[in-house]
Amino acid sequence: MPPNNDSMGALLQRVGESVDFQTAYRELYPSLHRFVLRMTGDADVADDVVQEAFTRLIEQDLPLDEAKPWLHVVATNLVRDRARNKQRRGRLLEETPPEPDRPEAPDLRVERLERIARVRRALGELSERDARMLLMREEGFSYAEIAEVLGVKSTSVGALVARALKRFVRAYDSLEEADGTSD
Amino acid sequence: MEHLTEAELQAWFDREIDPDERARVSRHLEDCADCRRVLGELRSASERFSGVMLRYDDDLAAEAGDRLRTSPDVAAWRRMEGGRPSRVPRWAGRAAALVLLFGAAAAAAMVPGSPIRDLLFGPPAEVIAPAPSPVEVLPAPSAAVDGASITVRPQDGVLTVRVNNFAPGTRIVVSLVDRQVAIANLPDGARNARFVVASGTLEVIGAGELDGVVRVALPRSLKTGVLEVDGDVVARVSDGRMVTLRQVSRSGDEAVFEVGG
Repeated sequence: MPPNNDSMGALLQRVGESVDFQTAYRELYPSLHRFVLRMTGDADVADDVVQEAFTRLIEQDLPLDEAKPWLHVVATNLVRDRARNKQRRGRLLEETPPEPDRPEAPDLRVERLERIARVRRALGELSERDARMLLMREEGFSYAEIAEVLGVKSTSVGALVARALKRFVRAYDSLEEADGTSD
Repeated sequence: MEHLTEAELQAWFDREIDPDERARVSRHLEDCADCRRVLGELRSASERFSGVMLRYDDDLAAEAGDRLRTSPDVAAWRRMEGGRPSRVPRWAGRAAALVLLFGAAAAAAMVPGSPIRDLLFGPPAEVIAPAPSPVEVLPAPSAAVDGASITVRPQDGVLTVRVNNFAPGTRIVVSLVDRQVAIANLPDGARNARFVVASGTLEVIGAGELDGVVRVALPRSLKTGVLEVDGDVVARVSDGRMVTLRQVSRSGDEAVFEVGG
């Protein structure tokens, strides 16, 4: 649940709202939201998780460079928590997205849903660690940051990235071929 | 000859190795076709992944429609703050019309060979030109001056930069910057290159025989930014990030392309 204004305001008053937090919110929100959205494929979940992660950040006193990996760890844990909930699991992994507001050609939407499902299945072919690693790399994390967040040696990240990229592409291309489509 | 490992090549591609090691890998690559082939495969996989993710983002956004919130809700945040003015730069309230800024030649000379962001955060002297007519052609300075540049404001968050007709081998260095204007720098000695500016577009046109480095800095805040080189889209910017294709190298928010590459 996103925090309501009262709770957020109370938190801010309690900890003494800082420019650093505002900066973190503004600068890190897009990347974190994209990361969670890619992981879950669910915009509502991404909104909730990211808001919750930032709410927790208020209670930390982290510099911006440390807030970034911290937020990704917290957000990943929040996603995991939700995935453990049976009621949420189906939605996180398989839910058919809601109808769009604007009418459009049904075949276009079918294609789009197929593409989304293909990406989700290809990401699912990876271990969670490897999927997170690729998504963090896409967000511009350094090898050192990735290593710290994922608990691997920074000298191993290059090899892990190379393998994970190839595995993803192989899986995605196979799915695409099976579907008889190509981007 | 002992070949490079995938880990070394991936780290080289991601610019995650120290300069000495990078030089060693680069030297090896010059002499080893096998490792160049492996590097090409790694680059291809990386670009494929980025391309798939970009499309995935677009598809998710289309499905979410108006529900998708990809940027912080600053207005809501201000409400949480009790109405205190935000520290967000109020650039959006500035003049919306396309404003043309013609940079002084000395700007680039201040930072030869340095990263583009150093240039951008430096103090280049700029002249504010009046809003252009629908299409305005600006020749480069008649004298070949190092670092001739142009500064262009996006139109409603949209900007397409087209780099055309530079000699094969010309490097295009594109970066994301925390400014509200785009900047393009011509290669040294660009006597006959010119800029063409229209609403939401900037065209940088070479004279065909020149190589060197064209530098393009795109605002991170662009809603939609596109970089084309000789008609091919090689980079796209949205939501504060850049997705690139066929780059020679990429390091964070900076990518290098090569004409004819």
